[in-house]
Amino acid sequence: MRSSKARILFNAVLVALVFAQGVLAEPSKPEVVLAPGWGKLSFEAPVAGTYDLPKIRPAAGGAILDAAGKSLDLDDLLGAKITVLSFIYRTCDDINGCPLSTMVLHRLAGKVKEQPRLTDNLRLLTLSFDPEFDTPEVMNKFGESIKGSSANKDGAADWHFLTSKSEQAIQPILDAYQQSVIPDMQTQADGRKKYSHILRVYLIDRKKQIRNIYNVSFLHPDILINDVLTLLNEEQVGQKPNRKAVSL
Amino acid sequence: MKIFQISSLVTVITGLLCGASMNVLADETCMSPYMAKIVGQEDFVYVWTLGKEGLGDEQDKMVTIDVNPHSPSYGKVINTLSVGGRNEAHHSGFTDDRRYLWAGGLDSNKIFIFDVHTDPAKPTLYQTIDNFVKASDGVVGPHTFYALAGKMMITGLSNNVDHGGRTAMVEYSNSGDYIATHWHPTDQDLRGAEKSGDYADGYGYDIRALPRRNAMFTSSFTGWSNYMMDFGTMLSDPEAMKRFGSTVVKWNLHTKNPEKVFDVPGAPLELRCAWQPNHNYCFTTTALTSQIWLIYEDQAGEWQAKAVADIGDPAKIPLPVDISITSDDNGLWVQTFMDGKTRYFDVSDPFNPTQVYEKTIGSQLNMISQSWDGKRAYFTSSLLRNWDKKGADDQQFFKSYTWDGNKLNLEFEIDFKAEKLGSAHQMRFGAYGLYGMPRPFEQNISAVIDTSTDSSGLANR
Repeated sequence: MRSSKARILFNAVLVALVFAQGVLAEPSKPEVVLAPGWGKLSFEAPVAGTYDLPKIRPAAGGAILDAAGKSLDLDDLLGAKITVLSFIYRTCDDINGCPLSTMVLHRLAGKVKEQPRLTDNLRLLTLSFDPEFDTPEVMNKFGESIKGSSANKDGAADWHFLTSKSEQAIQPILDAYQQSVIPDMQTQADGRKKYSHILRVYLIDRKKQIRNIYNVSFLHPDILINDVLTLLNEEQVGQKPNRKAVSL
Repeated sequence: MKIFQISSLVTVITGLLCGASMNVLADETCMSPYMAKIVGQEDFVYVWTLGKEGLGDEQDKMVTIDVNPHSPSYGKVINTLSVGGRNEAHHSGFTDDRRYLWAGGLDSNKIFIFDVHTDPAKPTLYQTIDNFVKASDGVVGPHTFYALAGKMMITGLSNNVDHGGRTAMVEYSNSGDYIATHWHPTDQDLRGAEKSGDYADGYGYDIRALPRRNAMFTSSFTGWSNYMMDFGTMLSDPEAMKRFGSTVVKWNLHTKNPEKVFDVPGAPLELRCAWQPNHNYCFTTTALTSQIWLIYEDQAGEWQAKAVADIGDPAKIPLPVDISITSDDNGLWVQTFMDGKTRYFDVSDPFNPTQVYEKTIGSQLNMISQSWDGKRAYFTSSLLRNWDKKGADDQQFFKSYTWDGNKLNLEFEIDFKAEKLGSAHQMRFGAYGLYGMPRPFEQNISAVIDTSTDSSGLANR
């Protein structure tokens, strides 16, 4: 399951984490079963354009900060491109948690160079739910290190690293996306918070509709990229309705 | 692996949580792999209960039972929440974040969404979906509620045109928004699926998935015209008896397209897929022919269906109903409604299940829920309002047993008639630890959070 390529990418993420924070709390243990996203997909990813991605619900906005500390609304970053949105906290040390989603977005960013069709059509958003520690400056450093950590440079990707002013500011966004985040009773050794949350990554179309939600079982670059291409195909051929009833 | 420990009790929750994964686990072996699980001691069992004429308020209700032996209210009903009227309460299922419990009415087609995270001991009714048939373009009988990532897949049993077995799966967002309807393949419209045998009936019932293989499976029962009919009347109606499902369908989990239709005659009901990372198979049992069937991926990567064992004496039609697989995939509990028995099969060789134990639980028996560690098993009695037995044989109970590996030992039971609750149907487990809450009856809380994502096929299911 753990391919050398995945390992290289994971190491890149870890290096970036260390570089950005100077901290990496207790690396994941080697016996942990890696999520499918770290390796080669164990089945053939469905071919792009051969299936529908029904609308799930509207994607919400909310007050956030970009990596320069500028206030903006999440909604302002949606719509211009097909968007992949990931909620993380930077010091998350579960290999199948936030590092997985960051690695998958990293590989998506790499695809932008491989597939010119994506250059003007794909935006990646990494939004922290730990604003106390993940300040704009820290997120900026984190983003730069992630983008520059791989031999496969992906500086061309439209990838934003975001945070918010406070827990009060991020909570309505988390609620709108139904991203459950529970602070743990224990903190890390350096006093930083730990959180329990279900890994969620959202695919959002240009009409600001959520079209897919990925968790650890299905968060894989091959699946995600084909879903993005499926939405691009759909834009070219026209909007497909949700699958309707078959007459009895 | 660090353990989330509260006082002397260890409650471990695993699942698709990341960051600092909370560790508590519940029916735990039969739920969606998308969901956090309770692997230690569950605190509650939620029983979705049919209202019964002449009993209490006669309404369907969610009954909460305290099942933690260390709790002062252990073995007691600690909360009931009536939903208004009788809906043919049947099955329920949690959302993937386990914050809400969806429960359906097979007759009214209403879906009740309970908040179980604000106070796990006292669920509240958060939302009611009352336009299921219209939204889905004619699907009737919301049955299984199966968590996907941020979504709920609901299997239907029937349709609003002929009220027969032709039906679909209906997809909702966790927030209760309709997403899509996925009709089952039929001879008239296979929808791209391969028909591997004689049948493509378009019937539905249960659903389970193996994400690791991008595979989803559905089974097939019968339509509204049968499941709402008096059981004796139906048995004596030859035409009605023809209207039962004979298929299991394999779907592409990601695209929701049907891929292969298998002949599994005799109304295959519950589906239970193996948990271990390399076990590419699921079990189902047929109600009318009393067989265990294995749905498996062969060495060539093709999916097949095969009858692998009889349950009791099929000639006596014991009517197998609920089943439950152990978390190590070595055992399968099989309930039979007519004789009220539970049977334990050794399925360590899935092609050769062998019965090693049986026990009569009551005059009638339907559901089982077992803990992840297999040490506790809970049983309830009701099948369907009009199919339950009559008179003294219509026992309605919740029974709690421990399993020592050789026999079941009764710990406590609750008479749902004596308590004026109704007919006890499906069970789901709850725990404080799922929501980062300490148990109120325990002192000196010491919490250690499990940050590992271990076994259980977590990453692979």
